[in-house]
Amino acid sequence: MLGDDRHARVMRLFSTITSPVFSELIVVIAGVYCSRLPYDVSLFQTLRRMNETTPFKLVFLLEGLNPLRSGTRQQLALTLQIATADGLLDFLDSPPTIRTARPHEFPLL
Amino acid sequence: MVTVWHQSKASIKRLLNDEPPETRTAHESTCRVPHDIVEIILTHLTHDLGTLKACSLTCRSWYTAALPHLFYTLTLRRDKSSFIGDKLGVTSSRDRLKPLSRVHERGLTPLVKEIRLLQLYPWFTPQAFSHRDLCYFSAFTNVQTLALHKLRIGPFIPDVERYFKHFSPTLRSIALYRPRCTPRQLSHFFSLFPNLDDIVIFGIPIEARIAMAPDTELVPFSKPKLRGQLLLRGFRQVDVWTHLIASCGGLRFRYMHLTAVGDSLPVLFEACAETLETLRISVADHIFGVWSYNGLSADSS
Repeated sequence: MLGDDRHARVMRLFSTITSPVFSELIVVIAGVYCSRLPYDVSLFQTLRRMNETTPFKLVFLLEGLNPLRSGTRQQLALTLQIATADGLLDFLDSPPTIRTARPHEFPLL
Repeated sequence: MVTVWHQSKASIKRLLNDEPPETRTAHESTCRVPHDIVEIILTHLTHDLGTLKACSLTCRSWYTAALPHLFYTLTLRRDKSSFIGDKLGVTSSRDRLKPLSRVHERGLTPLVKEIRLLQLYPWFTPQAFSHRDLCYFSAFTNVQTLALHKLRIGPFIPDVERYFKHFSPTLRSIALYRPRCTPRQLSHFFSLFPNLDDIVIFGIPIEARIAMAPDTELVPFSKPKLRGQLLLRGFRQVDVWTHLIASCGGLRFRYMHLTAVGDSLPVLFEACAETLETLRISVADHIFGVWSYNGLSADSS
């Protein structure tokens, strides 16, 4: 579980954001972690606190070679459905978005 | 498109009936495809250089339309064989920077919007430039993006304006992979470009690990705008940002993607607190059950 010190650190950092145009938090999810997401209650608790501090639109970004083919996207969608049903995401004004992308790599490599 | 199809069909029919060809040239026929349609087609092929080259061979009008895409990016690289050539003393600086002269001789210099430098072995130094190479390099006045691999900034510093100043009016984005410099040299380098918006840095500046001669005399050239994207991965040099903030009056990034940036995090958050629109952070895969805040943690890796 997320330690209190780390939670406090994240909240302290996040509370420094005073931008009136801050609107989006993108959380990059690695494929294997996806299945454990519903059990990571501390993640959602921290997100809730962050949202209370500064409201944002939540985006889960899947980075991988081909998340569409691997079914990870569907898995994440199902995971978020479970989390929503459990009320873990009820603090959001709009449902979380799922995006997929290739990992950002240096253009020459 | 329908007109072109009917003309092609008529041409095929004449060919089959052994009739003399129509006096209208193929060039004139293809010119009937509206230019903006050709542009749309070619825009879809910008990442497929092979197909783009094939399109450019279709006719003059397609060649003209494809040229800006074909020469958008200029890549300077040197492979292992030319490194061996260097060791043997058979590779001159002109060999290394030959693409500069090729582009210049064809009059395509204004089309280049991005310059990429790849060096497995360090060769991109002031000594690599002959007088003519530097003239060619200085002629790239429309470049918007620099992607530089293992750039050694130190050797350029005494005369850095001579080599990079011509990018100042147009340069919007810099991507550096494992730059070789001190943090202060890096912030000094950034200050050369007043319109710089986006910064991408991968990896640790190699020479930041070792003690360097003090370079406190470096005076910033300008105050870069720095109001676009900041993408950092594994780059933990806080000094770069403190120098930039001090010398350039702050950072104004709107999009931050931060991974394993260490103690830079509070500095960057505070500096961009009023301008940030999007924050992108990573959840580490290898630490199951723990949200490691890979981007939001100084001790995450």
